[in-house]
Amino acid sequence: MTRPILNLVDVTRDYGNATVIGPVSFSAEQGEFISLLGPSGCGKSTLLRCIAGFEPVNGGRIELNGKDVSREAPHRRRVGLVFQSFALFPHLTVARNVAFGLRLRRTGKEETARRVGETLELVGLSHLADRYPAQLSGGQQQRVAIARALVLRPEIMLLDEPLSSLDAKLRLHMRRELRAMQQDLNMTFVHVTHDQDEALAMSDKIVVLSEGRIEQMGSPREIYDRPDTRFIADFIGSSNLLEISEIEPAGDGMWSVRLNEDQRIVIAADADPRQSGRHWLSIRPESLSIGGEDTVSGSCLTGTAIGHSYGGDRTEIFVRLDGAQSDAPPIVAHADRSFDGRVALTITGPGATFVRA
Amino acid sequence: MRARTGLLFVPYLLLLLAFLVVPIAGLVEISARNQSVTSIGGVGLTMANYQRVFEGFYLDIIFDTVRLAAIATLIGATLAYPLAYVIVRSQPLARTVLTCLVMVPLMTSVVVKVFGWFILLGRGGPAVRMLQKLGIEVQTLLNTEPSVVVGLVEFALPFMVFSLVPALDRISPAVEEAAANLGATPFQTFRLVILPLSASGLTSGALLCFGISSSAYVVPAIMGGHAVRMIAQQIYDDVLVAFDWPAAAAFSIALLVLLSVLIFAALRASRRATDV
Ligand SMILES: Nc1ncnc2c1ncn2[C@@H]1O[C@H](COP(=O)(O)OP(=O)(O)OP(=O)(O)O)[C@@H](O)[C@H]1O
Ligand SMILES: [Mg+2]
Repeated sequence: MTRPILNLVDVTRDYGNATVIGPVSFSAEQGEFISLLGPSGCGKSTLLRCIAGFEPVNGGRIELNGKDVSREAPHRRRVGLVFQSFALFPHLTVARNVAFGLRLRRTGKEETARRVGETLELVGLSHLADRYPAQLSGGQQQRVAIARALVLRPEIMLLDEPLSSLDAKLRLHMRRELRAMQQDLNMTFVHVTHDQDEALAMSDKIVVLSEGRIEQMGSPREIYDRPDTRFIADFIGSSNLLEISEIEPAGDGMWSVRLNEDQRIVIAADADPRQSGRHWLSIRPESLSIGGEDTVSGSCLTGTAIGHSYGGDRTEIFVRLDGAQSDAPPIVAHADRSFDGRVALTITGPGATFVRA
Repeated sequence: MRARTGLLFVPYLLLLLAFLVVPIAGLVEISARNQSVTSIGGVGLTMANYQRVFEGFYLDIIFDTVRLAAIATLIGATLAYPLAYVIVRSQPLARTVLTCLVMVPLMTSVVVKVFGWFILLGRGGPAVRMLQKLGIEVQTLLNTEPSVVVGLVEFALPFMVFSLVPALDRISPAVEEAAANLGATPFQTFRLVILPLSASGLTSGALLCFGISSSAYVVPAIMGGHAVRMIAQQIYDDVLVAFDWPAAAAFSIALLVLLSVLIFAALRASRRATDV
């Protein structure tokens, strides 16, 4: 096992007596693309700023290349940061913004010009090299900010929502570009986003944060297919969350689950969900197959279709489960046509898991 | 609409005309006359007063004035940057308190302030006694160029701070952090980011400081004693001691022209600096 290039150990950060971070521990290997994912205000920017040295840590430590840098001044840390607000130098042209770090490192004139040119090429801004930041669109400014950090080839790049002000098409394009760039240069990226599609599509590892703590950490597939908690199941993709009233072993890694008097269903799980306190069931809409009343069998959920919404490649069916409480949200299932009246829901995909509250 | 907005400026223009243009025209007239015992405004027509401005005695005074004012401005800017920076980066309450602290000297008469220095630095004052205890034999710290500079700096400092505050306010903290993240030491951040981005405030502050310092009368007269002579003192003496209004007028006009040229040059230079 290689030594992690970035290692956070029990990092905490307080404002007065409010703890906004932690304790948080995670690490990044050379060449890894990590996404910090979480809702607005959960502390993603604060965590990045701790790593870059702009926020002191109140506890724990941050190691870069095995060296504790928790007390090191920002300008000595050599991690690139792309600010959420871009923070371009308004008095310098695009080219001179990008050249800023090279100039501080006393890079020669020719090499500076060459590297600035290459990097601007990479982010597709060569034609705007002589503009000032105020003369650029938000998306262009963002790309200058990326280029300015990237040109120094830092071992670690921290990116705070680098794609947030791009339009949908450019965002998809830059997503691929950034990922390709990161893989080509074998750099370590720690990327902040609250866009779960972006995190799922780009990352080697996702760290899901909620209220300053790590809720779950793993590969995109692990996070999506095996959410630990209701929060994750609901935040990453969409999910139907059902409270379980009783779980009994049904043998062979199967568990018989009772939701209420009328609903009983069998779900697969490697470990006993009762031991890890998983008393909720998360079912992805695409893992529910829906049929008419004639399809009712031993292991299915029954209910009434109360509406649908057409989504192009699929139709979402809203189902009120028999015996569900009146204020519970309806179950959502994907189908290729609309349904009316009594329906039966069978679990077909891998998207049914036990989760903690 | 624009023409009507322009009307709002008219009262000020009238004031300017009545209290600046007319008196200056009067000065110009007097400056071209001979001194006379019978008429304050002088008689005849001559360029002799202007010739005297370029003679050694007056030229020395002009040179000393510019030099002292420039030193005071430089020191003022050096002291004002940290003050203005702390004010701009503080929380609202601290900001108000600090702003008031910088403003307090402005609310005290310059005469009172100068007498404060007089007691502090003068004969038998605490500064002198302390130096004597340390074995340094001095009678007074007054009547020297440094003492005049101290007085000028104290007087001009608030103007410098208040010129820098709005300029620094426009610099986002994230921009400074970006510089640090790219490897800039705090000093490099100041030189490469803060200084160019606050150049407009620095220029206007420097012009104010220089203007105030180079026309100071009370500070050099009291804190400089016989050792220092600045333009305003000389004008005062010409008027009230020598009763030579024409000489005073010519010297005033020379001061006005000098300041105008310097201000114009400074504005040009700063515009070029901010254009990059
Ligand atoms: N100076 C401060 N004083 C007190 N609380 C602060 C301060 N700065 C940030 N916070 C709090 O810390 C928490 C985390 O803020 P942070 O900016 O890291 O969130 P974020 O996850 O980046 O959100 P977003 O997605 O909206 O950018 C927020 O609840 C915020 O209110
Ligand atoms: Mg943020």
